[in-house]
Amino acid sequence: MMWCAGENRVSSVRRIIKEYIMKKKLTCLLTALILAFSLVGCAELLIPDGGDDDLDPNKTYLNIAYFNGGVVADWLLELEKEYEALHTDVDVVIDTSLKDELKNQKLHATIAYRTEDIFFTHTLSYRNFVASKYIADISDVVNAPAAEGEKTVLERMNPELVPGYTYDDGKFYAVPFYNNFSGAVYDVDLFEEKQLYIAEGGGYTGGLTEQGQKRKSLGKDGKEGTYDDGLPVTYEEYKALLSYMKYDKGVTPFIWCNDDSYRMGYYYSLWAGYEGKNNFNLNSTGLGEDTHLGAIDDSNVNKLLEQTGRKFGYDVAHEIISNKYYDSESMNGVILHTAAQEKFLRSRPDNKPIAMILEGCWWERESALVFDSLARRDAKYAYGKRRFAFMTVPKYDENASARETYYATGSDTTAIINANTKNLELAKDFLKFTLSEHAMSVFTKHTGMIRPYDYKLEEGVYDSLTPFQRQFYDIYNDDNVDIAYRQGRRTGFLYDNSTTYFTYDKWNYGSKVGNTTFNDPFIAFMNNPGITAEQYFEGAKALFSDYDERYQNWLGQKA
Amino acid sequence: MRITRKLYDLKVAFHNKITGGRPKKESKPVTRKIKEKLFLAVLFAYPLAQFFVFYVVVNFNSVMLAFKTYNPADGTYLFSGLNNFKRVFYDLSHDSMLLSGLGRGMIFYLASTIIGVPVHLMVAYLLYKKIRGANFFRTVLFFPSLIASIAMVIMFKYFVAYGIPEILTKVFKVAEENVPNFFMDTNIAFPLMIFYGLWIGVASGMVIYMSAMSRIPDSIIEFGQLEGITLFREFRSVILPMIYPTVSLFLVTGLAGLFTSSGPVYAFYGDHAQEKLQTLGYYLFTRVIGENSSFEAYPYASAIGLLLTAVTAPIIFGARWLFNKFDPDIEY
Repeated sequence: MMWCAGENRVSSVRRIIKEYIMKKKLTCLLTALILAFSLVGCAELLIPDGGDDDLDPNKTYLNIAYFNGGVVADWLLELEKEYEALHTDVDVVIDTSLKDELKNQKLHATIAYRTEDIFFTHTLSYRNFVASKYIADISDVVNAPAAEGEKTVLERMNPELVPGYTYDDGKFYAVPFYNNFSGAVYDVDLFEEKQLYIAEGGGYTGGLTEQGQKRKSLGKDGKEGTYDDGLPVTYEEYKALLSYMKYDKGVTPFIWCNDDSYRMGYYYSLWAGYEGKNNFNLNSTGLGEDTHLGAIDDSNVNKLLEQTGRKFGYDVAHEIISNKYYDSESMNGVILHTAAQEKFLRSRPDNKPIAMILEGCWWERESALVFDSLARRDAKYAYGKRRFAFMTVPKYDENASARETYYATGSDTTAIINANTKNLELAKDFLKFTLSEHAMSVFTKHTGMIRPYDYKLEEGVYDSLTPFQRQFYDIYNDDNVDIAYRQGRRTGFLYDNSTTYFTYDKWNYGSKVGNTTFNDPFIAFMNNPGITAEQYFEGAKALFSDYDERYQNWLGQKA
Repeated sequence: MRITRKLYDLKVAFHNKITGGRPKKESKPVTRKIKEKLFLAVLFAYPLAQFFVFYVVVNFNSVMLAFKTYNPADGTYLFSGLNNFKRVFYDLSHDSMLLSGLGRGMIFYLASTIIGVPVHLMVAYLLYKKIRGANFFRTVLFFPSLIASIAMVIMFKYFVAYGIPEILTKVFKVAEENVPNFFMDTNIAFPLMIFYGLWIGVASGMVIYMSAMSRIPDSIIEFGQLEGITLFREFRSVILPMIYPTVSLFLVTGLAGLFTSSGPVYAFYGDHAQEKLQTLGYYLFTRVIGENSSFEAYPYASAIGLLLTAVTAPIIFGARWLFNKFDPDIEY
């Protein structure tokens, strides 16, 4: 501020204000401009997304938001065309550019203002959305057939998921979107080329009998010609195979990306594979009978920390880390999932072979561009020509579950209708359209993945899938296979109402060794080579040693 | 000249058309005052409304949340008295993560104060004195601030994760298995986060201190030079006392982050920072935003925030009193 001679403070302020007022037109203009800029930021929310098309007054627009992850939207685009052909007065507009915007908390914060009618999302806190009245009741869609001659959607829905999608009032506000297995995916061609399969009668083989090699062992199911042939049955065989890969064949056993959910997905798959579906699911429900530990309820849920499946997971993590059975980039904290996929795919053509990648079912389709790039080098590396498959979970000991169990994420990926939609009936009709057996066959054709409903693939679809996708389909439909879904915690249970004590990762793989708390066994073993799997396993119990006190406090609060 | 005249005529004609050729009416002083007040009211309405909604209401809601619990059955928050505070105290005494996170936050703050402030002051002073290459150093030090912070983080990450191992293995012939995991080994990653925070912070400190130094009258500096004052003496006895208000303001306002500083951890690790890297600030942030957030965590986070404010506020007022007490009170 500049004070003029002879002015006191008050008159000077007045003068400055007057000068300011003289410039009011300019100020108003600037303010209006600033407001306009800030409103531009809201434009996406305020202006209906009509895509590139000019709005046609004779058409009803149905806006769909699609989570832009590894599950490609080609299937929905095909269905869009089919639907528009049947309903010429409807224009379905699909936005496939959204990702973070459709994640749980962000979507919850914005859905009331969003103009999309339908959302195909990643994961969702279903109960929160329903409680906030943000999503529409779609019970009529669920309780009716999606197409003529079909069973109702509810009858076709995977029974495992029905309770989770049935809200307290018995209504449905969302339907499951897709299934995914998390685990280790191995390069079948590499296993044949480097002869990494376990041979019948001992030793290793490529299993290519026409080349005079030994036959593959029968695998866990003891049957010839199934997907587990030649794969390790026991943990000892598995460890021997990893060592054989690295030290005898110069093959790096694993690669994974910087996102901990990928390596922890493998840990879960081992845990679920050992315990079986029932025991594993107790960690979500906290209520039921563990085949080894007995009855579990709120008072003794901490007994689940003694599940041997956890120890198996820690043991494998320790084995991998302590022997450096991983590509060095896996632990550099930077490598993205797409970069890990690319390195895995290029490893065999580049003669720096990596045997397995820790991934989900979408990875192969997500890597289509890498396949295309490699195919320019040699057609045999093209998408669908190379063979990959899920590695089965070996038996840790004689108490391991007799049934093959796969760990599945995706139970909380959903399709929902915005409660604010102006086209509720149309949105329901389109959602129903995407739930028909035909629509699901289209989904599988394009993504290679499966929707958790009972449906048959249309003619030619199975044959059009890649070997990896066919294996996934076979496993999913195998009566001898169980699928353990990652589930939300039971409402009302002590750890449903916890913020620090029972956080998802802490409960599932946290540990306290000495005075140090860990929340990732892989990193714990890497940074602390002296820690054993046994110590980590015992440390999990130490981390929750005050459970009884917490439980009593919780009972007191409830009372 | 002719064009200017024509334009002037046009302007006059336009003015007459609008006003009907009538002379401009002088408004009454009272009306003018009302208009002025109205204008000021309109001018301040938007920022005041923003302040009210995004500060007053938000903070009021945060305070109220600390006394509530989320009810997942109907998505509402119910009054639960001091339950959240009880849980915070219980967790502080039982859950090592909260306390160690508090400690790490303090380490970030202390590093930025004990190391950062002197370094920023020295850098600003050397550039102020226009040492040889001052412009070059100023550009180099300021450059990271011109780039979007997340782009800078990505560049830094890739350089450290890929560039440094290449240098170590190719130039220094370090075996690949002996190359440290800079971002996964917490013994390295935590100091690395501190280093990054200090490095990136140089630019802002440099600008603030240099602008304070540039206000010092040249005559004082020249007087010192005539007296044969050394650079160090000049810094200690002239510069520092004269920029004292800026330094003390920087230190006092920085105290607000004493317990909640989180450095660049979220920018580097997103929702997946290892526990040994997490600060309380990071912990609170990730409980309300991102993959680890939940509605039930809001009241708990509010309670922690409120407790921290109760502890931090007296410290800040005390620090301000202390700094004011030692203020050399130099006016120029």
